[in-house]
Amino acid sequence: MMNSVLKVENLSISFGGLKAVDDLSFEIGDKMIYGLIGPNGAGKTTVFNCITKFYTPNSGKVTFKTNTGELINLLDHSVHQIINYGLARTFQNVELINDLSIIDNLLIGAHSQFKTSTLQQAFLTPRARREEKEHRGRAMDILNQLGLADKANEIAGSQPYGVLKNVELARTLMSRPKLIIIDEPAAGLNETETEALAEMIKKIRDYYHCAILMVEHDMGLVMGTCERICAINFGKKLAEGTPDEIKQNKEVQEAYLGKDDDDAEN
Amino acid sequence: MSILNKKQIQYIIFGIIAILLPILTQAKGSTITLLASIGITAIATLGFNVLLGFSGQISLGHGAFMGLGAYISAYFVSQMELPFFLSLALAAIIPFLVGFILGLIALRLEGHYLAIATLGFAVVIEEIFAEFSGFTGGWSGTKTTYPIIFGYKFDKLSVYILIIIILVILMILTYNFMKSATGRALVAMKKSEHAAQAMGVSLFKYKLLAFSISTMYAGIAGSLYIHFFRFAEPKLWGITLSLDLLAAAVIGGLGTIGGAVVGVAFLKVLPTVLQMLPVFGDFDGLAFVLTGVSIVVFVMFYPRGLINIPNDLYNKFFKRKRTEAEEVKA
Amino acid sequence: MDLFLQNIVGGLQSASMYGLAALGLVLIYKTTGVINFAQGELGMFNAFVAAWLYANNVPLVIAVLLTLIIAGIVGFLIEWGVMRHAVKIDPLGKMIMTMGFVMIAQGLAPMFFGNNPLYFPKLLQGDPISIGGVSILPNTILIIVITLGIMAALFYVLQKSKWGLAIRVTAENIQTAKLMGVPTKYVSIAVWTLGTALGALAATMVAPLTTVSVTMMADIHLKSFISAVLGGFATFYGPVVGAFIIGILNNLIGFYISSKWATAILYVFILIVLIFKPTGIFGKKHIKKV
Repeated sequence: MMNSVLKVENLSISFGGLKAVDDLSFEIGDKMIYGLIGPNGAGKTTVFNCITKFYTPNSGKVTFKTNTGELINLLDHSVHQIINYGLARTFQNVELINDLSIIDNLLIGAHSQFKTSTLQQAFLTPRARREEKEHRGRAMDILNQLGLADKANEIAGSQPYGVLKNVELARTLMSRPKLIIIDEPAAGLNETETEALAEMIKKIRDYYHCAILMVEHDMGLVMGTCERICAINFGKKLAEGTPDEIKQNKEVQEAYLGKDDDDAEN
Repeated sequence: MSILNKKQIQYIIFGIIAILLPILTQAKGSTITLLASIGITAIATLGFNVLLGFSGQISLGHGAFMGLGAYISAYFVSQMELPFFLSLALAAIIPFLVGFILGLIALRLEGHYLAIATLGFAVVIEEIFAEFSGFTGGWSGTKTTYPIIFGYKFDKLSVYILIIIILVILMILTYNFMKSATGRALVAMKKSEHAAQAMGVSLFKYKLLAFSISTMYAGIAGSLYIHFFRFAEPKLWGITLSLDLLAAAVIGGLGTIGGAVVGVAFLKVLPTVLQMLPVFGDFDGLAFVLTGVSIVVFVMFYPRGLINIPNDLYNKFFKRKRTEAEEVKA
Repeated sequence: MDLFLQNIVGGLQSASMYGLAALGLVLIYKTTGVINFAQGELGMFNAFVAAWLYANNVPLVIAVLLTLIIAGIVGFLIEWGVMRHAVKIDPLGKMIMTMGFVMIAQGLAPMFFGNNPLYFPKLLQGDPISIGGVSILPNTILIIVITLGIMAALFYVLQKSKWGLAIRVTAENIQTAKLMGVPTKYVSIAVWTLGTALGALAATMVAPLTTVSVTMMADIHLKSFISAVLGGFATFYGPVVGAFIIGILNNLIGFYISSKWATAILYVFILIVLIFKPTGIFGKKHIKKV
């Protein structure tokens, strides 16, 4: 039985001859907050996209412990199935549906939880009504927990960026995840917002009992919240360890030397 | 007030008005024909809107699917002597299945393949309609009767009422599933395929669902068409009809239920109005040109469509005043 | 064998028309991301222009050349007057707009030129000549020669000239092209002008075989799309190769199996291609950035 929720082994992917991720391995423990760091273009987001099957890696294995405790290789599944097993993600550029209300956006996050058919929904059968009510209730609970309840019926497109980032986080919780993958949560946030975010990430882990994997440039946030960190460069692992170990690591320091940490990775 | 805010109730009120209007005004036969034709086309457009407005796919074959529904219905009623409602059901199910199979092939890829595949379907099925004369009557067309249900023989007005009832039922059903998990998945897919996929929406499954549902609506519309007009010929169901549905959906308001009705009404009334204006009456094809221009103009400048004009005007002139007033108070 | 060759030659003639139209499609699609569903109907409109010019005693060759120029102007106006201002509209919206153009062209043609079909003659009159047992109309030879000539010239320009490079770079990635200083605005004007003219050329070639009518382009329009699907939208030459395969197949199926069902059989064939080789013969799968 594996103690970790996610185990990445020998992951490699290349685009047109360029190795974006090169034989990368790391492991995330249950309910752990884990950071993936690296300079611009190090391949961090690519790793995310491989794990969530937006890209298909050339080789490697991604073992995931599902909600039911079963071990599966995520690479054997298609992109829309990943969330069913308990792995939800956010995007670097916030992918919410702008025309829908915030609570409806959360309900999209619960998509994999809906069991009634389109036909049942069309005829508003008791089951369909009950299901809708149940998930609406859950969505309100989550919004309450994250302090967003007053915005439930606002249209997403009308909200400031900082709120949307939180909504996107809230949306991942609708799927009852075991692991949340967060892509650059602090990008575009100011310092106060970043501090609030750090609190929220810890709170999510404690309250919803899930592990969190984040890619982040803001070293303050990573060092302050993550229990373990993996540093990569040119798709290769430089070092892995606790925040202190990473800070001390020569290779990591070199990789970052002279780099501007605040630039968003494209 | 709150019950009137329910969309389902609004649709029923719309239906009652649409039924009462010709009865109370003792409308001429030609007016009933116009209204019925709006109702029938609105059903197909409603389906088209599920496809285009909600899932972001284009079909040029919906006219062909309407034709399929029409011929199936006429064949089963007239040749096989099946009851009308059973034929109507078959005219819904068979196009649904054909759409499903076509979708299985054309929707696996991103992009424009459905539009091309349905363009081909439209051309090929027109030939099939023309050649399979045992089924369709070939170029000379096929005839059928007003429906007979449990011995009750429909007449023109009562078929019109039936059309409106079915339209309202479909509007309500569509509204219901569009406001639930299915609809949210479709909207998510249209706005951000990545987000939708990450949330567990299978793009293929939902595109296929939207397409099959929309071909089913087209089949129903076709069945009602042939039992109202009691005649159909192959050239009715070409690309032009599909483009009309597209135009109605775009002009009425993509992704809206009421837009389908408003868009169709606009397109059907336009030529009549043009004919009444002496300057424009002489030009064949002018309605076509204006429809085309409307498509371009609406896509470019007002993609929300006619249905949203009252709302947007209201928001523009009244909401702002109110917020200004609130600001003053604060 | 002679019959077979005869059919191949006939197929080459249709292939020429499909190929010209398909090349027009893919030029616009690859550089601007717009699938121009109005290609066929714009061709139809321009065929009316040609027939009208001819009916008004403009010499045939001049009528064709004038038509090509007018078609170019129509394409220019569509890009410069409309599409250019739709940069913010998504590809779906642009595709819908081209369907609006279809209706405009179908409505304008009878307004300008009346409801009756017009006559347009072959460019080259004359009796069939026999070459190795295959009898060919001079006009057929001319169509094939013109098409091959135009294609050779276009591909030469695409591969060798500065303009061709600009078009290819824009097709590869419009953002990069802009950054590298490629005048993408002129590229889209150029492809719309050229694409519409190619469609018009195909239309003037088919006009003598049918008549000039609102529905004259239905077949070519569909077959050019099928050609593009078969060859794949990924390259400029794919659709042209697709057109030659479709053109020849179309004739062979029509002759050996059933002329009535040739289009239907081809359509089923293309569906099968979509199942097994969904991106077409020369298609590539590209990875979308997340």
